Amino acid sequence: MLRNLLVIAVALVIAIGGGAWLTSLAMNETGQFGGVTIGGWTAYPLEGTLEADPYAKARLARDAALAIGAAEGVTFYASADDAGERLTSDCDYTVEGRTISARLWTLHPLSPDSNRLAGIPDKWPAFLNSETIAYDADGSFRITVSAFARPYNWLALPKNSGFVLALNLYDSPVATNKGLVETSLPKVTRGECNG
Amino acid sequence: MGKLVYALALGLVGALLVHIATLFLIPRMAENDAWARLSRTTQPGAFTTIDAASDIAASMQAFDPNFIIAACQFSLADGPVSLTGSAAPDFWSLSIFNRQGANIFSINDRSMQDGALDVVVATPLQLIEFQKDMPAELVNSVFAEADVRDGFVVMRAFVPEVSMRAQVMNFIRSASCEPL
Repeated sequence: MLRNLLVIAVALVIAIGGGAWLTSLAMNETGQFGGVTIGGWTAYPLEGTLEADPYAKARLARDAALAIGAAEGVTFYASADDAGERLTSDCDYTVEGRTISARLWTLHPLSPDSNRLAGIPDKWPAFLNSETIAYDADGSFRITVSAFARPYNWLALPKNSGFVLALNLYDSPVATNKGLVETSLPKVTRGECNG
Repeated sequence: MGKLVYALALGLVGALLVHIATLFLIPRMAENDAWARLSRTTQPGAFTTIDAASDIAASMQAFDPNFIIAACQFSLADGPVSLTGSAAPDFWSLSIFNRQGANIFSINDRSMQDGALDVVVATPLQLIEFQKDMPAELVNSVFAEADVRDGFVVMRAFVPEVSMRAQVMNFIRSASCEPL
């Protein structure tokens, strides 16, 4: 009798403990499915929609993340430069590109876990958009991402911090066609490092 | 020994079941989801701007600092909800979310007559009623089908530069979100 109780207890502990552990592991450790990658940039157009997978839906509820709708736009994230190195504010980066297929686009840095990035001084350009940056005569643009003031288009970073770049395309065929549209996104190249 | 192996096997199968059950329960049971966080800050029937420092903004996908973002919770239980407002100086867009926070409908200013906000949110049944008898004042409205009882709208309005902020804020203030 006692042995039977023990068997039931062991089974229950494994079932409940293991099940809860599996769920938390899956929510915290699994990457997002259904990503669309263009160059070094990745977007998750299904995240936060009714077509999202159960793990994405659980994460959504826990994080209260509100996804941007397809008719609104799409957000691409870059966590590494074009050589595959993680982005860090110890270095300068050049974001270089030409026309992006969107009515409007914006660029800003996020923390490595895609949250708000603290530590950028007030009045520094913590975000840029396609309507106010300077362009070259041929329509191409170049943005320097740096923790130090830079000439021309400058996007500010906090000091000594890893970061992720968020590129938001608004009213873009890239969003409504779920990545089937051929487009090119800017290249992120590492410049000088001060580390 | 045999009993222990049996207990282990039973436990592992159980763990799998518990995993699947919790996974599907989390979206329904989450107490601090987007809906709950919005309930603490928004007024029913009106758009409330979402502060960049608030807990809902912290985790919001594409909480773009180039934008002013506002939200409104609504219920379709007593009839369709009408979203109206003036035209904005530049780009704006909105999404409708269900109670669990999944994006079910989105639109931008290009789809509007004159770029002014004029959207009617209705359930499929309420839409059939409109098809039978369309009120004259709604002929230019965009109809958003939302098969939900409760939901919320998140609207984003682009601020090209700091000097335009007041104008964009006027657009957000002009926006209402009331039962039709």
